[in-house]
Amino acid sequence: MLVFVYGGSGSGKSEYAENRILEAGEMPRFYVATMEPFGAEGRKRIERHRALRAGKGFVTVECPTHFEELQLPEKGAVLLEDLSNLVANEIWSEHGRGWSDNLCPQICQGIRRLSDEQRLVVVVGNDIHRDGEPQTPEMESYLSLLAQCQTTLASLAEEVTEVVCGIKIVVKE
Amino acid sequence: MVLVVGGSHQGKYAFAKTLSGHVIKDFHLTVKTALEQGKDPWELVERMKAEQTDAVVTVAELGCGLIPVDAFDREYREIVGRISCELAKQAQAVYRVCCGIPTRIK
Repeated sequence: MLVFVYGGSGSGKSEYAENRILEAGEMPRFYVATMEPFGAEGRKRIERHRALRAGKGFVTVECPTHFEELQLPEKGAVLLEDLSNLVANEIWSEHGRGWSDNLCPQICQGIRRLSDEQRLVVVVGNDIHRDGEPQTPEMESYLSLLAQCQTTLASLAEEVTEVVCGIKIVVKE
Repeated sequence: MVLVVGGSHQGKYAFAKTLSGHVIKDFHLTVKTALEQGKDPWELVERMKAEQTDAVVTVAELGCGLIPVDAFDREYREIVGRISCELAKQAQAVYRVCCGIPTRIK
């Protein structure tokens, strides 16, 4: 089953997504971490997420780029967090593939395959498209790619949930 | 406490005035001032939770755009988000206003 969860920054979407996995019951739990620890702020964010997950039984699998190659050892529940990082890493990180028309299809096909293999896949997306005109054409292209991925995933997902101030809003079920 | 959230200029304040209870407008700006003065904004939250149980609080949803370039703006956006989650947890009702239309989400 594929679940897509989205919200703005600081909306409580991660906590909601973790709890969605816990509610699915006892099974192996994987946390696919996409964030590359960039500077003190990045490390602080990662620490915050780690503390939030502590004691919830997640095995962390680092996957900042090349998501479609991800292999997990067991069948269970997977939390992929988050799409904004995954897309940004592919574009800008040293191990990424850079700008490519294949980016969105590759990520979405990877997620689709994973959701076929696993019992539950919860993907966290980002509601960051409401801030008017981006400053540069590069940011515009990034937002466009991210929106493409999210639109595709929302259509593939059996369940879509928006999180606002920690509150669940059912978008599709 | 009743919490009213939404983007800028969406009609949060106009809607808040139609509810019973006095309105605390733009709480995100109070948080911003506290941060600028080097104070801990969570103290304001604790005080509000204790003293303003009948208030209607409006706060902007700041987290729905690109990550700000400026470090202070990033911290401000993050803290306002976390504080909004906490206020929403405390509130007996939460509304989100978009294009002047309020939706009760809690």
